[in-house]
Amino acid sequence: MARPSKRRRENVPAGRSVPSRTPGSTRTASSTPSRYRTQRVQVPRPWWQSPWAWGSAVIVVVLAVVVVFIVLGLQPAAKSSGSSSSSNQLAPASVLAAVTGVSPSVSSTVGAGGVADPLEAISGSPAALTGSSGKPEVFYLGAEFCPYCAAERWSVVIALSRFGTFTNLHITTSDSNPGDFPNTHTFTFYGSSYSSPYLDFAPIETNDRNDNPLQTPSAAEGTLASTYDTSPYSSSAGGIPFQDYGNRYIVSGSGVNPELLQGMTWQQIAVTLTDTSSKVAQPIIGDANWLTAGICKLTGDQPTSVCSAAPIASLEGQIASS
Amino acid sequence: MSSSPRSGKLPPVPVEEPPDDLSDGAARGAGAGAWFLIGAAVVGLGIATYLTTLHYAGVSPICTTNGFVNCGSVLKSTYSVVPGTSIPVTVPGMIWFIVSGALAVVSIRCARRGIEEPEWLRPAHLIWCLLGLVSVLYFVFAELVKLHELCEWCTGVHILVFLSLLVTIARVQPARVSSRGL
Repeated sequence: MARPSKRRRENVPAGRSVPSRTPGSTRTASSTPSRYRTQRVQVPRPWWQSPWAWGSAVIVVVLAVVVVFIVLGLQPAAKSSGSSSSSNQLAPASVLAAVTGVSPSVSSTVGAGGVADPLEAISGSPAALTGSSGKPEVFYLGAEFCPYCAAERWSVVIALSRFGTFTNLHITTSDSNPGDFPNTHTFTFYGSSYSSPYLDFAPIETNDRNDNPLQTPSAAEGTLASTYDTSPYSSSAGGIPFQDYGNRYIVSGSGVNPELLQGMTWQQIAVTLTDTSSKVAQPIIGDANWLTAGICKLTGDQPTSVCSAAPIASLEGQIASS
Repeated sequence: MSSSPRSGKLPPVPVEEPPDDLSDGAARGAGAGAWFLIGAAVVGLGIATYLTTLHYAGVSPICTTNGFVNCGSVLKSTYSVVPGTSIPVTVPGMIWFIVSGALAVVSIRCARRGIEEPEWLRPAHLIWCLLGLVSVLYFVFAELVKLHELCEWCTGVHILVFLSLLVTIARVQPARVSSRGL
């Protein structure tokens, strides 16, 4: 039997070449007489080699995972007042550095920053509010969804950082209600801790940004709120944020207009704190200076490095006596 | 009549022309799948670039800002930045689409030059898409479980990643035609 190559060559007229085949062309087996050639034929595949097998499996798995997420999302939020914030990130180091390290010269230049004295002296002589260590206590009542709390926290963190140290401080945003300064970038005191040789800080964030319950005030804290979060100390009874400075001063509402922070990230807000001409930095630092002066009243002007510095000493003298 | 190959006669069965000098991978070419991957990468890169620009400009995107579908809220949430940094997650998203598109371009260039694709190309693209899917599931988890809000821009990107994964799965399947000695 002749070799295929010979037989093929015999079919080509002298002087002519074999026409080149175009890719994808077909021919009949009768033109390939050799049993040594191979041909391509459709063969059944195992199911796992089907083009649709793995793709279908991925689709099913992804859909199942999304359904699980939807079910989890419909579950009510955890109501425990645990020590960590599950849905908020730790504050970035750059932001923390900015709020805990406001320059004394910037603070002095800003002064009150156009903010009126937010400290309302408590009349009478109620028992001093102290923490478990016997130090004067600052009580804060707010909620993560609240844009006014969001704006005020910037000043509170700056002020308290002059007397002690926050750890595990997280960032969050207020709720997304478009009619009420949505998504104001801020910190949350939920899950944080604070230590100071001069005072104790007792924050309560009642709800997260989605209005799910987070923390519940103790009976004593509830009494503080019901007693002082009302006229004449507060223009809106039961409003937040509410702060009690050692039962000597009440701070109701925010000294910072949350509208100023709209559209700004934490980093963008933090960066302004070095700019004395910033319309954002002025009220934040000014309000923080007032709060600092109020704390100095509680600590007996300790530490002197804080309480004797400008403009704190001057502002302290302007606070109405209790 | 016997159909034994030894008979030297074969029935006139249509057969496909075997490739002359190309491997199987190159012979099947890059195909529509590669072009789809490039298209998805271009669209995804456009969305990610748009959202990244808005992030640094401090401007809200064009999207719904109320109710369950609330792009503005999601893009300002703590999940909108790479954990522990201030880098918006859209930046890694941009990188993902650039790499995905580049892998598809390599496939098409190989096909056009008539050279064999690197063996690692399609499996690498599949692994890249699986990584993308893991990220997508994380963000969907954040939206549905943590934030209870959905971002339409993000969802568009998620769908592009998912479709890219399906295409890369199809592209790593063995060739449909097998060789069999006659």
